[in-house]
Amino acid sequence: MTNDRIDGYLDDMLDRLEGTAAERRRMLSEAETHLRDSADSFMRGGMDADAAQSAAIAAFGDAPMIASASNRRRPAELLAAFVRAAAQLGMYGFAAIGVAALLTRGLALVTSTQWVYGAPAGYRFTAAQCAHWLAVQPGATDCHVAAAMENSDDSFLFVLAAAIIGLIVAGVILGAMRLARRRPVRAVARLPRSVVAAIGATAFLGAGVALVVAGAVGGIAGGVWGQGVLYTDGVVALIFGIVFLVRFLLTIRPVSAAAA
Amino acid sequence: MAHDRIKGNLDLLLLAALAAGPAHGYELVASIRERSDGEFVLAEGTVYPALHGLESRGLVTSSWQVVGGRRRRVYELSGAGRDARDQQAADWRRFASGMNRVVGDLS
Repeated sequence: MTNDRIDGYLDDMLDRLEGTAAERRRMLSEAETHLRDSADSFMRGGMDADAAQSAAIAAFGDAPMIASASNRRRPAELLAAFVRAAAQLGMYGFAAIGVAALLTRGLALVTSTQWVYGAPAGYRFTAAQCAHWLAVQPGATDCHVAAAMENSDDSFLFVLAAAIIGLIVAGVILGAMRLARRRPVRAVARLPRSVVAAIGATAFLGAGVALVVAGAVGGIAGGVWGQGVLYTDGVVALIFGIVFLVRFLLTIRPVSAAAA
Repeated sequence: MAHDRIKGNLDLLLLAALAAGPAHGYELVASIRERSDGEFVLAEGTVYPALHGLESRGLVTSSWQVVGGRRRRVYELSGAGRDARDQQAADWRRFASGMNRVVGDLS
């Protein structure tokens, strides 16, 4: 195989280009056509192929400078990319809250509302607390049951609020995507998938481990309210984290060698 | 001519070169070089980020076409691009006229 200087130059540029796959592919394709045209022109002027390629590359400009110019984005584009990624992760976060809340309800049905939502064993309510819980939960037979029922109701309101916010976020994303498709401009800037997946994996796995540990420590040391909630939320966060981790690993794997 | 001076006016140069009709990047570089009598020699690769920027602002449109046996991105002025070229050209003429009056007095 001949030593193709233009191929080497394009490899160098590809390493330096940022942006979406479509943006990088377009820049690389335009650069290659330009360099080959330019080299052909130098060859018609009497240069040999190697010298013509060198001259074409020199006229085109060094790869770091051209890649840097190509990577430059307007602040509005960068802001939009961050908002888009944050909204995407936020949507998954709200979905995780919804799933965890449903599972927690299910867990309360098969175990006990007291273990899932209630005060830790041995917890002593003050008279004021007891009066408050019994006032807001008149169907309860004692302070412990009233506190667990109130905590359960609060968690339902929490998931309802999360679902509404999640639907609003999803609506904004879908609306923005429809608008983006109508605009006759280059692909909308977005953070690399691997970065978004890495942030998601770190956030969800971190939260999952923290919640499970909090539940376990609470179970051993006592004094923790809603031990079942902590476990359920932790497990759901871990599952979401593992999904993001798998997506991250898939995005950074090399292109399939089977095709080679 | 200094690269910085060309760089600051690259958008106008590209819009002006595209006024002659649709063209791909290599043609645009050649056109600018020829029309400036070889005065404007720029790092050729810089025209592509500039063209992408013009497209993102809606001043040019582009499409892939096979020209001379190679697949190329061909650029064309949009209506907004023509307006921008007229506006920028008028600004440039005012600036050049002022410069000429000042610099001319020095000779």
